[in-house]
Amino acid sequence: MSCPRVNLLKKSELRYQGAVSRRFMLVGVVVTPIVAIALLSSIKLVQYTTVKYELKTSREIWTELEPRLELYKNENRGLVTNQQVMELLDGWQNSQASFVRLLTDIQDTVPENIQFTRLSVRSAMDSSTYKSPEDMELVYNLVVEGISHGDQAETEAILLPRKLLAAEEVAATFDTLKLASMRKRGGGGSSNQRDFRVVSEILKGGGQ
Amino acid sequence: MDMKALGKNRTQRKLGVLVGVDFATTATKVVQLKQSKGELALTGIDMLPAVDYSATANRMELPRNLSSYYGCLAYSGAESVVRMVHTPLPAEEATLPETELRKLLNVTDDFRVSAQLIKRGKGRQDSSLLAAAIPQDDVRYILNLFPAGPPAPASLEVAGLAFVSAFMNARADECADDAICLIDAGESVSHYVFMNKGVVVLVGKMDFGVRTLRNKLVADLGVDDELAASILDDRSINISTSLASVMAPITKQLSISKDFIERHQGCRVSKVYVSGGMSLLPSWSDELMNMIHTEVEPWSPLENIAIAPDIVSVEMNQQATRFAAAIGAAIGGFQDS
Repeated sequence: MSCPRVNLLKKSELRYQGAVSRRFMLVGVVVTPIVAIALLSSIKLVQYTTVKYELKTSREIWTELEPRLELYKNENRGLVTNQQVMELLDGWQNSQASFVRLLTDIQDTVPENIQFTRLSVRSAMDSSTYKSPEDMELVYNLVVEGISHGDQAETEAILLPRKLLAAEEVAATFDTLKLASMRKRGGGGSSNQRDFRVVSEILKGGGQ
Repeated sequence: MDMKALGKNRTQRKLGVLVGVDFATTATKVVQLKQSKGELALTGIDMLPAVDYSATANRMELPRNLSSYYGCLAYSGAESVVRMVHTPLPAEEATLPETELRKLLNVTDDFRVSAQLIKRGKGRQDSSLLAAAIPQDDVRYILNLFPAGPPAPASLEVAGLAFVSAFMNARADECADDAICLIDAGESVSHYVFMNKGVVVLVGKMDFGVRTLRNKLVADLGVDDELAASILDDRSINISTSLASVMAPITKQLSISKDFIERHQGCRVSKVYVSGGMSLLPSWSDELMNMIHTEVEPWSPLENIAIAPDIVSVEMNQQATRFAAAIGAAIGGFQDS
């Protein structure tokens, strides 16, 4: 059973009272998040400013270094080109046959009863574009014309390609040699003479 | 108690501990009550010096054992007004505008007024409201005693009504079906409340108290105030004649009110319950019983309240009836929370 109470206090005169004051609650509920946001914003602002400064510094350094880098790239490209040219030239040089040794080997190999009337060694390159050292390698072509005389004139002419290939430099320069033609020499003389022609198969140079 | 910030109604907060303070004429009575699972316990009680409304209000420091977040206050000033008012009340209204209340209570604008609906009239019947008024200056004075910190004032009642809550806590079951009269008689002012079946039907204030009796004895016997008080306490002299003469207008007012209630309510007032400092005078209750021809019974506001060990001294226990308003104010605070 409750009894009526006549409370003479107005609502405006009632105030909160508790273990935690309203000011503390206000600080806890409202001010703390604001302070936290402000603190985080400050940290982010400092970070932004620092990053912005670093970016500005880096841009200045980049502005200074960029021409040098371009120069380096250009020089590097030139260096690479030169290197490629050097490699091509090396390829060309390495494919060069030694004419001195080639002719010496041929001279040492030719029998006494054979006389050359023509010795032609020509070199050429297979490719018209040079991307690799192999494109620069030379291809050698040999043409030997001569006269074989004596009793074994025909046999010596037939054996000549094989004898030539037995020489080291000749074998290194040409893959194969073959007797392209041989005929009996006219003119009314008494000796047995044969005109012959030895040619090489096309072969890329690479003697050394 | 300002619950706006918490988004709840002010009266909906559950309070566990409350301090009841009665600013009486001779002393400021303070109690601390604790409510747990519907059970009340007295955890502190003290009697502090009376406040002087004519002086500047300074912060009142309560003893540490009587501290609480909220306090329910009772005003015992002689200028208070209490009255049952009967007036038409719009169906959607729970109380009257202050201007109308002031008219009904016959007080000026410098009084703080408030009312509580007791019974809403049906149809064209008047509604009954329990109304009270106290001077605005005294309200401000009391609020200035607790400007900040604990206890925050949660309510302010007229002591002559606040004690009813204490009585209902102590004896509600005993008089749930009866018509009774409660009298709280203090130093200078007394209040009476007639209740029928637990509902307040009539209230009144009498400018009568222990001081009135002392003054009469001082005049009749030619003794000083201190000796008059002693005579009242120990009944060393037969003072029935003096008591009868000074109480005649009071008993007359009570008798008229009693007859009015019995006729108006169709009941019989079975008992008068007395409390307050005057009820401690052994002669007074007997004289009252003889005059109004109704059984008079003192009661203690500590009834039905558990008392913490070593809280109430023997002397304080004898004075318990003087704490009826302070305890009633705190109990009312629990009921409203």
